[in-house]
Amino acid sequence: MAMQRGVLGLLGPNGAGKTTLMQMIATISRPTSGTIFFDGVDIVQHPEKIRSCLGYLPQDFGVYENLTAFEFLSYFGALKGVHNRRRIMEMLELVNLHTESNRLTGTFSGGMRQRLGIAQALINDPDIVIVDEPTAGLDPEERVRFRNILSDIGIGKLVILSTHIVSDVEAVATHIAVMNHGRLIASATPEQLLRLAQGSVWEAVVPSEQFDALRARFKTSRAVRRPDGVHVRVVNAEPPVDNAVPAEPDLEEAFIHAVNLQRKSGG
Amino acid sequence: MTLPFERIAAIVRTELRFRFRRNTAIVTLLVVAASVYLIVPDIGSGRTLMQIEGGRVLYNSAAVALGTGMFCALFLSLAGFYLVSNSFRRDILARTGFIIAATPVSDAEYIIGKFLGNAVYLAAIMLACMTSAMVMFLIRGEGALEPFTFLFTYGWSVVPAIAFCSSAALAFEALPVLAGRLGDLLYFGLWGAMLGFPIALFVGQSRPEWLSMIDIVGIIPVLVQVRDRFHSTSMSIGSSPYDASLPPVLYAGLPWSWGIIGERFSTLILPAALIMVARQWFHRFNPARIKSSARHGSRNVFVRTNALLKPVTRFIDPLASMIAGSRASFSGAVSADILATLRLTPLTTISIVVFAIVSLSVDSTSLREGVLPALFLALILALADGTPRDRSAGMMGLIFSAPNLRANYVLWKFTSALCVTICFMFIPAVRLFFAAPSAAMSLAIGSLFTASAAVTLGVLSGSQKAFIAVFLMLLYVSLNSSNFPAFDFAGFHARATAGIQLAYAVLAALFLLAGHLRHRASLKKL
Repeated sequence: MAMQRGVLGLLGPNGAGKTTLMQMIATISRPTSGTIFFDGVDIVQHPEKIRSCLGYLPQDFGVYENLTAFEFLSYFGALKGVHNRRRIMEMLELVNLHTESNRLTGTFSGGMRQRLGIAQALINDPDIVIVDEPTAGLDPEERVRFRNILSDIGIGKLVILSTHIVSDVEAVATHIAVMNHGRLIASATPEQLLRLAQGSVWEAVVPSEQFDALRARFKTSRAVRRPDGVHVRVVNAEPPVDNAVPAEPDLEEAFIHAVNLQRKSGG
Repeated sequence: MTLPFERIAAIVRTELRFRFRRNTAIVTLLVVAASVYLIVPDIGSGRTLMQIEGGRVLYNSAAVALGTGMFCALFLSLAGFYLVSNSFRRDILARTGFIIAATPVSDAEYIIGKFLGNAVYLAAIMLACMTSAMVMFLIRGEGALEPFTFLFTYGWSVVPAIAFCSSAALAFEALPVLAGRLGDLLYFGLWGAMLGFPIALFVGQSRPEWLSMIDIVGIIPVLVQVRDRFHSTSMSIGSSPYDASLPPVLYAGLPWSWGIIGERFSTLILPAALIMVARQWFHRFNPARIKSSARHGSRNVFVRTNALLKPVTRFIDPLASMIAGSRASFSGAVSADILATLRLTPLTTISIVVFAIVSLSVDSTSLREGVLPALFLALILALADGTPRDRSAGMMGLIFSAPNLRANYVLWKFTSALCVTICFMFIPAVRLFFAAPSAAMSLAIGSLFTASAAVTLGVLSGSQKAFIAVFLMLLYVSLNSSNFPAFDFAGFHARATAGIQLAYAVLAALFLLAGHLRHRASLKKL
């Protein structure tokens, strides 16, 4: 798998290995086999090559509760070679925490901590940004704000974004990798992934009493109860019921389709 | 471009911010100041800081600096370890370790930064001790204050002790088998051995070349000086009685020479080796290695033993079902916490049974002098994690949602700790009640004191280390001070007077109050 500049969206069910892959690229874990190259250098053997230009926000992220936001950021800035006070304040402003710079992080809400995590990941103006579930805990406004930040960064750098929220990937990813059971099962642009799922998404209206049976047999991506029955979208190669009509797939359905294909091929 | 020393400086700065913003720092500084007050007694009281051959040593700058400096070295070489031995664990618990691992900071820079952070923090405690000693000198001294004598003497005696425990803390944390309570216990044993072994060799007229390397508090050069100068090896440091009929002894200070300084420098070889051990075994927050040490502790002997003994807790299950049937109540919550302690650490359950059997099968003197100290050691380990475990497991929110526990958290934890303590102490207390009622009273009050201190130190520090450090030291002092009834907190020597027993009861109440007030203050921040 090769990664270029832009935003790479990493999708996969729970336990697919997304976090493990990100930890290996961030040089926290060592792969049991295989290699990872960055700019032609094997970073498994020479991790320092990537660490100097890396920004990483792990999924399970916390703060030192008795440090202020400014102190927290200046600590990680110093570890990454940033000592400029103005740069630290810029980062706090970027994540909308500049008015809270002297507050202890122990008093921050989950969303504020997450924003501080995003700021530390970006403080050294990294060439590679790895963010694992970055929008968890953010309110809708902050989520949009963060997506825009990632989009802007992705123009000149590589951003690897892992999330369960497909709409986040949909909004910013220029490339998508789908993982399952520790394997890469698809790597394509969003358009290519959507094209692959073309003809495999069906829309139908089924009576309420048949819905459970349908859901048990097929992968349903959406279901809405209406007076005339349950309006359901199904991801399947064949029409799930007689009255099903083909529908335009969205990214979530393209993801389900890719995982389905892998399961059927026994991979 | 960041130079390594800038990254190291950032780590040291942050370490100091963490440590000085914790309540433990204030408590430690207060304990140090109070201890200096106690060990430099008024000579009119019949006690003195130093005595040689029964005669009191004049309170000049050299004597007060050496006496308090040796105390400081002793204190920091033991308590210092527990005060600073959570550097890696804190980064794991704060969930910032992965970020640090992904930065350009090298393993060596990180370890050196942590070591210096530990050392500077302990050096600040040393300065507090030295300042307190100088203040005491101004009050009780018998000569001119010589600040440089204090500075050189403290530097000579305390700095190697600081270097040793700062590096040992990192090495113990890095080695999976020594991380956790087993390491805490083994360090106590190591400290005792490193203190006693050089003295034993000296008394036995043996002085191998490597002796100075393990003499972390610098007692041997002092003993040599006293032997050469006063033709005696009988001396004591710390508040001790003296013979007022003997003329005061003048102690002129350490015989400064390159030899004595070089000898002390050789003590730094051990810390350097320990730093290399820490560097070699540092996990750099690799999830696979953390799982096997700090978080899951599969290689930690205590954790493994508890896991192996887990089936023993099946015998507790019938009791648990009885409690499950009752309505939500404070007593029900207490029972649930006791059961949690017994289920989490089957070793505690087994220790209770074993000590009960042993307590029934020895005579009352052996029970008091032999079994009780071991029993308290087991109790300290059993109670240490009772309060901190809630916070480190992220359970505080869940616990506070239960009826009555938010406001009465400290009382709840104390009642639970007291019940576990009673399980340990019931049989010895009953036996002593008939054989030595005063010792039984001391044991009862000592149990109360231990349980309340376990809870409050857990609440104040958020870690088990503070309680383990304070109580291991208290246990050590108590067992080695048979002539000093004030330290007989649990009746080991049956020497405590009613006044001393009352003082420990008041201390227990004060501990509880402090814990409760701290908890209330923390609730306001939520």
